Amino acid sequence: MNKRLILLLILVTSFYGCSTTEKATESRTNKSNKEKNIDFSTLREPPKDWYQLDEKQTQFRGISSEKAYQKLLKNKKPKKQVVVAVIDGGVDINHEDLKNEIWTNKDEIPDNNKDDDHNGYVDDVHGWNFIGGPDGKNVHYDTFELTRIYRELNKQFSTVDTTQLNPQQEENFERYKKIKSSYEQKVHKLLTQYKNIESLDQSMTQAKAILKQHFGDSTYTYEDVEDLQPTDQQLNFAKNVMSYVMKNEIDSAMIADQKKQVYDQAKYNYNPDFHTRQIVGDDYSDKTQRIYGNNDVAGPGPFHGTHVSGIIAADRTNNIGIKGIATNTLIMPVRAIPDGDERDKDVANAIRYAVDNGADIINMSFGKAYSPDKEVVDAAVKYADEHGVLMVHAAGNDGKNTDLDTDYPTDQYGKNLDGGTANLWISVGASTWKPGDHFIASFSNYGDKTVDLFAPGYDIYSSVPNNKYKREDGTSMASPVVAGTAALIMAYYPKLTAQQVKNIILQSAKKYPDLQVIVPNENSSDKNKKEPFSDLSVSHGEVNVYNALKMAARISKQ
Amino acid sequence: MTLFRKSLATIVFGLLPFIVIGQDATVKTQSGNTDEIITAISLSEQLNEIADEFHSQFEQNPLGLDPSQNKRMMDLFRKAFDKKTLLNNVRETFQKKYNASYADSVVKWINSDSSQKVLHTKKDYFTLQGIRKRVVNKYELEQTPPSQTRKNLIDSLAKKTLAAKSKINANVVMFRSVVKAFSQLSDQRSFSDAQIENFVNNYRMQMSTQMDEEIANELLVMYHNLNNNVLRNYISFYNSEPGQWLTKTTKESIQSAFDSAANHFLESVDKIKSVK
Repeated sequence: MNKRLILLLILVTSFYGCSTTEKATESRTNKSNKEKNIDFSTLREPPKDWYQLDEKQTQFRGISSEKAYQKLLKNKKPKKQVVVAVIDGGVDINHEDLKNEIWTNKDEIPDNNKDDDHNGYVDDVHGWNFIGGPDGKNVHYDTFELTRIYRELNKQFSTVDTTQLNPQQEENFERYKKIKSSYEQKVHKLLTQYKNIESLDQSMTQAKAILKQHFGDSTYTYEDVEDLQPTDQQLNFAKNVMSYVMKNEIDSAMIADQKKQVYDQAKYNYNPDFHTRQIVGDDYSDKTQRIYGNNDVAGPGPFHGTHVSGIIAADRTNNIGIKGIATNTLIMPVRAIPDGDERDKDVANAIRYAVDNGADIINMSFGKAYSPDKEVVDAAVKYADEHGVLMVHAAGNDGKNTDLDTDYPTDQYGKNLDGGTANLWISVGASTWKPGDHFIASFSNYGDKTVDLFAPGYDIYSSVPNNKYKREDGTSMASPVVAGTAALIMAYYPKLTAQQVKNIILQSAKKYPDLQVIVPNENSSDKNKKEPFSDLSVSHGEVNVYNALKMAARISKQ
Repeated sequence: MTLFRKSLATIVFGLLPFIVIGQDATVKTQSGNTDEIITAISLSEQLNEIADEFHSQFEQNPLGLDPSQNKRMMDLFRKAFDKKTLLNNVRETFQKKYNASYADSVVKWINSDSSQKVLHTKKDYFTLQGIRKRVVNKYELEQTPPSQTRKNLIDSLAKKTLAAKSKINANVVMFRSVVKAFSQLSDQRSFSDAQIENFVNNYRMQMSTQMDEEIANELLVMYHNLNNNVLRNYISFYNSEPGQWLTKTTKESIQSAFDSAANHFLESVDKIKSVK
């Protein structure tokens, strides 16, 4: 999700941080590695391209895309240039691994301040930015939807005489109470989180000083700390703190980052007095308004969108950085997601922009818990569906069952469209490189009615701004793995419809019928509840490019 | 009945309603002033937060009581140390220690423009948005640490209001009561009075080492957006006799409120113990 996941330090990496550690940063595509069994329980970091590897070849449970390139596509040429719209927080279109893979609107003359192609958007050469103003200013942060709803209801009900309400107002008042309670909980949680981080920071400083004195210097290892036999309270304290810190690889940079995240949430996301729409300058009350924004597709925070774009389509030929899953694929950046919750109006317009400007696929690595203007998003999703554009959506990072608790946007239309479901929609949960019961990422949403399949979304190495690369986690990363897979299929089998491509991806998903996994549940006290992996998604499996391409080849011949 | 006597009686009886009315007015003024002072200095919010913080620590069962027993114990704690009870106790002490002249001065001071700025900021600190802003202020203070002058000013405010002492005392009262309750409820361990006092002393020592810094940080965050002059002016009142009366009465009212709540708490623990 674009709103960066706050991982409470107390919970951080408890599943993934391991005591004895091994790095496996080089690719293991050659067969010789198979001979050596990998001890996944002690492995700290998988190879950078682990998610593209094949399990049989390397033991890493990737999507077998490299195997597909080697075995299925070696002597084939792509037949179509595919366009994937990335609706996100912005994309660094000058990144060394993306600059040749960015969509260009050939009907638009750059920087002439005219709408040459008459699509309503001036100088939209490489996409559009719906959260920017005509003066070039941009929305960076925004509030969460919960804050916005709270703000509106609080205006109406904070001082209302509850004895004088009519039935409709009573209903709204009940809603206000629920929203207020949720909002209050979130605000209190922020302070607790910040205090916890502060407390850990202080304890860490004290513990380091004690251990430095004990060992004589700071070169001690995790094993040294574990082997300590404390004879006094101080040393015992230091051992406990530093065992935890070293086990979970917590350092001052991580603490600073966590503090900044909580600060941003307090200052912007949960601040009911923080407003952004004056920057955009649209008539926000008019949800049908389409033309506003600017052509700055990077915006002030293109980190997330650049990472997502790299997974889909990073240059496979330049021998630098990474290889995107899809070849012959262009990224159309559409900026609509701030650091906070996206607005329904912007999402709807971003989808329509993508459809109208030739996208084959739309990647949507964002989501939220409330959608007050769902009808405008529904209408846009239906528009994309009717135009044969495949929408791939991240299932969300709340560790919840979305069959029971919806994450928006969704393929389920509301009452305004008489219910029903979008056909060309894939919802993607996140899996990890751990082959055992930790196969599903602890943060991933799931649901055998609402999550279509899983894809790697943990430790995903991809491009980030300024020609850099980084590992990131989230269903945000799993979604472009599937979008990239779809693009690859479309590039080689252009006659397949979007519906067929979706069906192929789901039907060819790799199943693990006997695999029991720990069910993600961030709110449950039972953190180790297991269920069959196959029960957590519609397809019962994980995306597999090799299987999908084989099936695509077969179906396209029919 | 002589006329004199009669007239005296008339005067006595005749005046009585006025005296009663006069007394009523004094009580009302006393009660009104007390409430105004307590409300203005956000005392109830402060006490509630102290009790809440303690509750959330011991809710996690650091003493290792049977979880259901711990929940029961902390539910009783919550009832005994609830906001209303603490406030009533504080009000009682304020009324006992009432000094009309000092209270009038305090009320006058409260209503001055510069005090209002500070007191409003303090009140805001305890609201929902104030809680959110604490995170913002904490972070910004970390990024741009306060000057030494500012730190000195805040230290001075903390010392003059005896904030650290009051908070330590309140925590110690709560700690003692919880350890006693634990000792009563635990099937595994019980402690003698001497042992309990030993724990309490250790706890007090531990609190004392960190409380000054904790209070200073709290006040820095609370008054982050107020300038030094406003604060300096505010603090100066605490040098006056009414200011010292306010400090002393506040401290005593906190102590008394927590003592009384602790007694209620232990009584209720006794009851469930006897039912058990």
